Amino acid sequence: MNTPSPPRPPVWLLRFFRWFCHPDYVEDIEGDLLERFSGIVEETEINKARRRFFIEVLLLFRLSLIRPFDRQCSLISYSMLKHNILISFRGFMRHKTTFIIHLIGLSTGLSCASLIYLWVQDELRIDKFHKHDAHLYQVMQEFTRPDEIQIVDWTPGPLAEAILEELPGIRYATSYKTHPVLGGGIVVGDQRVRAIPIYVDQSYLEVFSFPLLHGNKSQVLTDKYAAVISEELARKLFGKTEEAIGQIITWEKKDGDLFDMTRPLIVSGVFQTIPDYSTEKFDVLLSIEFYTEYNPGLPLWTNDQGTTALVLEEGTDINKLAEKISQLSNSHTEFERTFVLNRYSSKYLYNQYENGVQTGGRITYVWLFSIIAILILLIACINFMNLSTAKASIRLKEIAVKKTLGASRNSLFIQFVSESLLISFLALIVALICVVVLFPSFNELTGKHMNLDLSLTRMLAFLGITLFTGLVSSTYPALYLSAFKPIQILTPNRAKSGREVWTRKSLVVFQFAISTFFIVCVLVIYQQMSFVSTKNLGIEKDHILSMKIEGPLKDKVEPFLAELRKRPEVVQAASSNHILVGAENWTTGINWEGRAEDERLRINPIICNYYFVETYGIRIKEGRSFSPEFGTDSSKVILNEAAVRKMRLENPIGQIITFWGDQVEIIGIAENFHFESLYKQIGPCILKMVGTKDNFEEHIWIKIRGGQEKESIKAIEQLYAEFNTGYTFEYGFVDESYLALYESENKVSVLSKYFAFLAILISCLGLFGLAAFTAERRKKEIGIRRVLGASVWSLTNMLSRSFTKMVLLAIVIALPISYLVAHHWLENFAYRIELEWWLFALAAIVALVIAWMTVGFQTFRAAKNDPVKSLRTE
Amino acid sequence: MGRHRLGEFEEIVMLTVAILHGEAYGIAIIEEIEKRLNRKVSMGSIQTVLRRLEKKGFLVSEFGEATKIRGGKRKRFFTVTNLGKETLRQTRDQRMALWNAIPKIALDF
Repeated sequence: MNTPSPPRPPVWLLRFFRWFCHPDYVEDIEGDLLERFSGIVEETEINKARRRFFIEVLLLFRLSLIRPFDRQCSLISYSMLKHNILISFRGFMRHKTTFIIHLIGLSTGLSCASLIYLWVQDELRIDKFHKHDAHLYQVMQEFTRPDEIQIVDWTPGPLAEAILEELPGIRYATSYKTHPVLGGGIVVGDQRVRAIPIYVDQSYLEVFSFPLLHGNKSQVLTDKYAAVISEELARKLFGKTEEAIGQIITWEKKDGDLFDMTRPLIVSGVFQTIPDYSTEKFDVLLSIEFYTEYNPGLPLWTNDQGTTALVLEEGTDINKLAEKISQLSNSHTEFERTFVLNRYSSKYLYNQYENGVQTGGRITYVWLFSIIAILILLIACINFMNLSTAKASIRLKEIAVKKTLGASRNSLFIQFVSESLLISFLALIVALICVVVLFPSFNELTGKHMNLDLSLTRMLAFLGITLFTGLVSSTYPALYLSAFKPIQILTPNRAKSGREVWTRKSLVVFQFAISTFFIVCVLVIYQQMSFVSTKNLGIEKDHILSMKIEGPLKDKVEPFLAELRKRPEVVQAASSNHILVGAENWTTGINWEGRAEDERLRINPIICNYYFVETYGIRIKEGRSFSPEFGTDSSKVILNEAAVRKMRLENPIGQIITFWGDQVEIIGIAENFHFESLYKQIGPCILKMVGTKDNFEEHIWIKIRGGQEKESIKAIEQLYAEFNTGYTFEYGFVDESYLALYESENKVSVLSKYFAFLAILISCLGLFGLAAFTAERRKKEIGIRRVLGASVWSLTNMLSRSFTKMVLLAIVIALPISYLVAHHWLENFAYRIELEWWLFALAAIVALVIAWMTVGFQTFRAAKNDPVKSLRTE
Repeated sequence: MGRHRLGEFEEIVMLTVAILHGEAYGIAIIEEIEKRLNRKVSMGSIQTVLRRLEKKGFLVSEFGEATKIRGGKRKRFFTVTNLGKETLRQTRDQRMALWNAIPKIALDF
């Protein structure tokens, strides 16, 4: 390895070491540290060396090696620290309400932030575990279409080899094929196990780090009929992983597979279970040569059948290399192609492309939740600031006395900061307990499999979050409190500073603005999601069972359907190739009279059988639907309105068009219905009756009567067992798979609900504290007013007025901002709700009512107080 | 002999310093111990013991030449003093005396 500069240990650790180490020993021990570090780097990898370095530095921190103290100074600071902690604890005990408000607020904020941190950390590490991650790139192909540029990951099969041979700056190149052509499984004896294969060449295991338990990674795939299986599979089939080596497994053909690749294979290796944070998931590694034997198209330059990944040398220019790859490919074939290179690990977070440029994707949610975490922490900090400054008057005497006795501003500042750090760490303990308790449900909510292992980075992160919170929330109060001059405090008639109140008010406004913003977001997301799930799609998706056609059923689809239709609980049944929800499937193989020379129409083909239209309740606007009454309909098609418009057909019924080379007649026009997600406009679509040529039926749809699903399913299952003996009846509901399309939105919707609730809760806690404090301070005033005849109502009103103003101001600030953000989010959907005024009004009212309830409770209690009691004591 | 008592780890370190004879500095000592005794040693513990032994007068140290690999930092080489040698010898003699005093039968099994 000839790296330009040797890796260096973390500088901050070195500084820390220099700071604490005895000056006489610094030089040689530092030398030792550096030597050890570079030694470990050579042996293993940099991160391990850094970790080791960190531990070594920590272990060097011992009494015999650290810098000698300045005796006097240490004694004072030690006793001061002790004093500060004591005072803090006394303060906590005396003002229990404030303490509890602080603790609840901070610990809620901290647990939110910690959970979000765990989630973000998990998102960020996806696919990053590969050893060559920093230089691991995937070759993607750029397709220029009339209306957009598309990025796909298919590349010609021989590309990887050619790149490695002909271009400089490449360490490894691998070509593999992920799309499982074989859906079948492995058979050993009479055991059958479903398995997902991946076909790879010999450098695959060099490029990607999937460690092997048994076998040598450079040799396991040299044989064409070798198979490397997963740890789990090995256990399932052979009991112990080491016994798998040398065993013979057989691929079994599954109906619908393009090639019959059934043949025995020899297990040459076992790989470790693939971690959850890998996007590539497979059970068996097979040789790509084995695949080529059955599918000779793969190694052709004209076919885009492989996936290509590269490990680059350090300092290779990505753009130049991509250009060279395009040239290289074009020199081998006449077909013009353009390639780009993408970091392999960025594929997960930046999975959206717009005109060929990565525009985001999941990373948006990472940002979104990070921002939410920070906002919630800020709200919690603001609580702390407000209450601490508000309660300053209680501590003024303490400050004044300390200052007169010679305490410097610095030492007071440190006292207040350490007090808030103390409470932050108490809150951290509470927060960690909350995190541990909530973790399983959080995992479920986010659909992740995270664990709670305490790694060093995590511990540091938690400590960091806590320190951040403590410092942010204490700096202002500490500065504010320590700045008082004793003379001001101790003289009886001091003027009140208006600035203090102003800061406090603006902080409350800020808090409530965020809360209102969250409320609007929750309302908008909720509305949009319920709009999506109830939107009239032009099809009836309720009570439709879906199942795949497999096994002997393939030849008996028609009788099966006929039998189904006879059942009383079945309304209608049909088969098709198309799943109708969320399918992205199109063809340009359509031609019609009046088509412009270079016009290419992307149309969605749905190959279906009789009664498909009826099963889904697709409405026919003109003409008729497919029906057995009219003899054979196999050369008939139905177009949707969008297709008719795009093709500019007038009087389409009866016209003959060419579809996939066949002359077909248009017999009907269907009203537009949704077959993709609501992110997209409805595109053109063609329904074609299944013909002898189209061996395409894959799904069966059964519309059943609502209300008695369980019995109906049982009846269908029995029938299925008669037709397809030995196969298990697996089914799904169409409306469920439709909702699954919006899974990430649904998750965000649920999560944002919780976070909004927490944000509001914390804000209210702060308001509650402030209100309680104001009421307490104005106790005498209230007493006098009551004696002079003020009613409870007017007093409550008086006390709440200033809070109402603040919350109103917050609402005025928050609404326009939330309007903009909501509008921006909704633009993602082609079909969306209107942002109506009542949404915002509702949010405003909710915020206001919550604030009133919080404040009102306190003020009402204060106003109700017996004036005699509050006025008696002096 | 209270003054000259050596702890187990101290003894190992001193012996290693003696083995390395003039080449004994922090990392070299650690590696030697790890190699010979198959025992993990942190820099913190070794440095503490070295300083303590130096303070007791069993070891002396001096700086060597600066080299590039250590970021230009000099090594500190330790050597065993006469007092140290004497103590080591005494420790060994005491041990041997104890060994010899064991009745033969007690170690048979």
